Amino acid sequence: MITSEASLFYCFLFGGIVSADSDAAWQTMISQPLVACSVAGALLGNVTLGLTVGVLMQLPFLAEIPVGGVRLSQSNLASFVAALLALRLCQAYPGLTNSVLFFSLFLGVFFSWVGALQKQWLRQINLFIAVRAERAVKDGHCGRLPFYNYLGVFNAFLSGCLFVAIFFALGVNLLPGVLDLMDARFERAFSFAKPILLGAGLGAVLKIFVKRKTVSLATLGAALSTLFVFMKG
Amino acid sequence: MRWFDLVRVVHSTLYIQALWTYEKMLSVGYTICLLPFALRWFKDTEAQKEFLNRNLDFFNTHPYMVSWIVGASIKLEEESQKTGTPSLEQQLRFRRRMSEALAAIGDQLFWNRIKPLTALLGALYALYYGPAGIVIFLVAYNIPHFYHRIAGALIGYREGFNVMKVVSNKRYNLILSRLLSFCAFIAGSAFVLAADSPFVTSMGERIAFVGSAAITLVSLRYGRAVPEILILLLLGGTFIGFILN
Repeated sequence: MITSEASLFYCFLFGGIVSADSDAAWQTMISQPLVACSVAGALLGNVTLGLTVGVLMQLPFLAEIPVGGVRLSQSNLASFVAALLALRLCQAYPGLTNSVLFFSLFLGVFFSWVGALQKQWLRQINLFIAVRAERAVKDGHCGRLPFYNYLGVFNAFLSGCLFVAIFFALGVNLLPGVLDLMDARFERAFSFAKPILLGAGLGAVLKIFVKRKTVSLATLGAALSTLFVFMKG
Repeated sequence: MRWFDLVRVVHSTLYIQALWTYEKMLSVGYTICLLPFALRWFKDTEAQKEFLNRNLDFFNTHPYMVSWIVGASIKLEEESQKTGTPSLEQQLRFRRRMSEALAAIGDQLFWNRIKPLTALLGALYALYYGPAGIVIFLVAYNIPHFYHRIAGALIGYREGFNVMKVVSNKRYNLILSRLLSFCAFIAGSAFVLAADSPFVTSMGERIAFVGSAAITLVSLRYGRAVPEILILLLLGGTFIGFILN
C-alpha cells in the first residue's frame, strides 16, 4: 500500500500539534515521541513500526531537562519526522527494514540537533508578538491579549507543520539514494540500531535517577528483575 | 470571582508559554491568566490597564505550578482592593518568592521525576505489550499535571498568602525524595527487563545494549549533548556490527 497524500497532509498538521504541545500550549505529552510516532503509525497504516520508533526515540531525550531558557534539541518533532520516514520508506523497501529504520532514526537524531534553530526562530517571532501584546495592554486594549496569545500558539503550530514538511521532504528525497546501495550485509549490521538506542535510553534514565543514595535501590530493582527473568525462563 | 472565572483562569494556564521570551519569560502568559479576574473586578478600562501593566514585569516559574501563584495572587488583589492590605510591595514579594520556590519544585517534580518515570513505564510496557503503553504514559503523567493546574488555582484562590504552607519546600522535598527512591528502583528493574525485551535478542545485541547504556551514562555526566551521543553510538555500533558480520 502506498501512503496517500491525504494521510501525509494530516501528518504535517499533526506535526503542528506536536510543536504546539511541546512548549506553547497544553503540554499534555501527546508531543512526546512515544505518542506522536504511534499516531504517525496509525495515520500511515503501521502502528507497530511507529511505536518502535517512538520507544527508541523517547528514552534518550529524557536526559534533556527543559529548565529556564536552556537550549534543547527539537527531539519531539524530529522523532515524528523519523517515524514518518520509516513508515514511508518501509513500504518502498520491504526487504530492508533494518536499514530503513537505521537511516530514519539517524536522520531523526540529526534533525533534532539542527532543529534547535527552529526553536530560536520561534522565540524571535514570539518576541515580536509579545511586544505587541504588551503595547496593547499599555494602550488599554486588554481584550486583545488572548488574540496575541493564540497567535503565539498558531506560530508554534505553523512552524511545526513546516518543520515536518521540510525535513520529511529532505529525508524522503535523500534516503532512497542511500538505501539503493544497501545489501544483506548492511542489513544485518543495522540490526544493532534498536539495542543501541534502547541502551542509550536506559543509560539516560539511569543518569537521571541513580544518585549515590539511590544506587542500592536501583541495584535491588535490577536484582529482582533478573530473578523474575530467570524464573520466567 | 465567580466559579466560571476560575475555570477560565485554569484554561489560560494551558497557554501560559505561548508567548515565552528570553527577555521576560512567562510575563505575558501570566498576565493573560489574570485577565478573567481583571475583566470581572475592574469595571473601567484605566483600572484594568493599571492592574495588568504592573503584572507585565519579568516572571518565570514552572508552567504547571503557575496556577498556585495565579490563584493566590487574585485572592491577594481582591483583599487589597477591599481592605488596602496586602500592599503592592507585599504582593510583588510574594509573587517573586513563590515563583522561585515553585520553579525549583516543579522542575524537580515533573521534569526530573514524573516525566522520566511515566515515559519509562509507558515505553517498557509498549516494548512488551504494544500501544497500551501510550495510555499508561499519558494517564500516569496527566493526573499529577492536571491536579496541579486545577487544584493550584482553586486552593491558591482559597488560601491566598497561606498557599505557601500548602506548597512548601519541606512538604515537597519529602515527596521528591521518596519519589526518587521509587524511580531508582524502577530504573534498575527496567534496565534488566529492557535487556530481555524483543528489541534485544542475541548476545551481540545485549552487549551493544549494555555498552551504549554505559557510554551514554558517562557521556551525559561529562555534559555531552544527547544527539551528539546518539549519532556517535549509531555510527560506532553499526561499524562494529558490520565488521562482526
